[in-house]
Amino acid sequence: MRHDGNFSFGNALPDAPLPMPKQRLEAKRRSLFDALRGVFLVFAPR
Amino acid sequence: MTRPYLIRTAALLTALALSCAGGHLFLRFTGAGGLSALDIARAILVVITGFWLVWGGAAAVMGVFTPARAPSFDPRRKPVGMTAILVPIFNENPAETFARIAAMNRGLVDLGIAERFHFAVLSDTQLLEAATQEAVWFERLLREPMSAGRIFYRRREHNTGRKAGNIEDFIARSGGAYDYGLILDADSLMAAETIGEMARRMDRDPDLGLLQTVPKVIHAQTLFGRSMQFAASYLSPSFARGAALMQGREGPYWGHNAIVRMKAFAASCGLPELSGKPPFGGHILSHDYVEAALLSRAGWKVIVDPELEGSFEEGPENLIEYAKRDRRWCQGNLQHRRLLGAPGLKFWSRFTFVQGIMAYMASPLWLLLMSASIIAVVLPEQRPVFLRFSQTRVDLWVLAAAVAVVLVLPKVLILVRGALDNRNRRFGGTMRAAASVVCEIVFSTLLAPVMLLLQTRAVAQVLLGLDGGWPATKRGQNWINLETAFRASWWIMTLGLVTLGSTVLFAPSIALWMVPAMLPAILAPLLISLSSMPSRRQALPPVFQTDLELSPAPVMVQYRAILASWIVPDVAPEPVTIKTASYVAA
Repeated sequence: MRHDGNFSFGNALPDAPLPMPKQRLEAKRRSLFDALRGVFLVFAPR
Repeated sequence: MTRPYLIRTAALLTALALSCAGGHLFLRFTGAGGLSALDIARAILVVITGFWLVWGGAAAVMGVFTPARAPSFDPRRKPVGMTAILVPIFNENPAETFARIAAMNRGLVDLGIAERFHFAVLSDTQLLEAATQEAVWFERLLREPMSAGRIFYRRREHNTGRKAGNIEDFIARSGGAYDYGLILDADSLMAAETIGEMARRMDRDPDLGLLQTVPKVIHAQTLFGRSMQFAASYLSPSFARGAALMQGREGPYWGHNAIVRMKAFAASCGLPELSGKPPFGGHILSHDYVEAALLSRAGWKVIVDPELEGSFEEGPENLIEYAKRDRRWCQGNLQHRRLLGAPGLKFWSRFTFVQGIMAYMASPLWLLLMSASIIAVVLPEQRPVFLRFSQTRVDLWVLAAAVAVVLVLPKVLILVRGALDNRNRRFGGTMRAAASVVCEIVFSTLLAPVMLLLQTRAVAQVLLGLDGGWPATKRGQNWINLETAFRASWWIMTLGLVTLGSTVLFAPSIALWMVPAMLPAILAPLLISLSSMPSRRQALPPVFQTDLELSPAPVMVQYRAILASWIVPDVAPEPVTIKTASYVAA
């Protein structure tokens, strides 16, 4: 996406999309049940 | 890069040690006859609020002892990368905004580097009449040199995501054509030399994701505005220099007067909507802090350079406009509590969020401390938790002096340094600078109780789930008459009267101590109105003179000249239908 000096700038804003992916900011909330399940899963037979 | 970590740790430990020492002094003051639970709660409040006071002071003291280095560069050397100078606007005065763009553009043209810089006015203006005026004044802007194919305007009909959404919309459509984006506010003004140097720094350092300048407040006319302007010009550089030492490559972004690397910003800073409803859910309001944290998370350098001159903004001219802006910032900062646990953030970014939250939470905590102190006097017979804590009682004056030293010492040190390195000469000489510093201390002390109550109300509103929205700043709106001031602050006055009255009745022993805090609250309408009056004299008032008032930067002179030439009735453009292709209504 780097401008290489060849981009032609007309009279309007250039049509040069640059994707802006949404970032993950909220940590997934674990319920108390999930936490307990996680603890017991360690001891569960495989 | 171990240095910032060492400095941070030292500053944190110092602030912690001094605030704990403050708490200990407080316990020796209250606990001579035995410590009650209320005494311990108050001491905890002293430690928490004291920590943030000392923390701010520590940054300033570090800044005072850090040598200033004036950057040297060749302003005529063309940057390699292409920069889009982005000017997001929202119901602004278009003549003033576009005159600033014209002044910056002329500077770039004069330096011969204009071809590497484009301007994009990104309007989110929702009022149709204001949007029409923007189109009219944009036509005038297009008569400026080299404007064709370099100065663009587009307007969104819906301001989704507010300013962050506005910038994101530009990047999603046109960001690929530019290496860098210089993000401004409608009231931002920057010297062309500074703009050029910022782009060259981005060229030189491929790891640099964001470079923030420290903008100085200009064009203030009222007592309130000029005191803020003086503080920003004279005191803030030392605070910013000290803070920059601690921040290292995880510096701040204040949303404007900063340049970003386009591909880094696009890849790292797409902001999601937070789950839930405002004020804590929805769009992220104080997006700048979050964007800085996200750039750091992605491994980019985020740097603030307090030595880069030529970066300006305008500030609120009265306490009511200041409080409106503060209400927005308060909601935005408190919303950051949702992001404290965001995955992958650097420790310092999380700490910055906490710092932003505490900037507002400190006010209700101070209020709580004051209320608890009144209760402690009214109800002296409390069951002690520790019977024998200390034999020697510390006098209240020692505590008051300790707080005063923390608040005043950094400012005195800045004054002394200014006298030693001749910086005071730019502010009218050491005597005048000293008078201005004393007046700033007195004025900010007078306003402190009013600010404290306004911030407490803002915090309470946010915690109660009231969304303050994002009202546009009214620029140039100066004088507040006594009636308007009374309507805005009657509740502060009433609280002050009730508190002082009850103290005189029920706790007369501390009534004298309450007077300095309550008298400004009782006089709030008068303070708001008087401090919003512009000076009637042609000459500069004797205090709060700044270097830029005494010797304005060329770009400021250029801006004023352009604006004056544009608003002459004969020259002002008639409303016309815009046909030029540079105008896009998105």
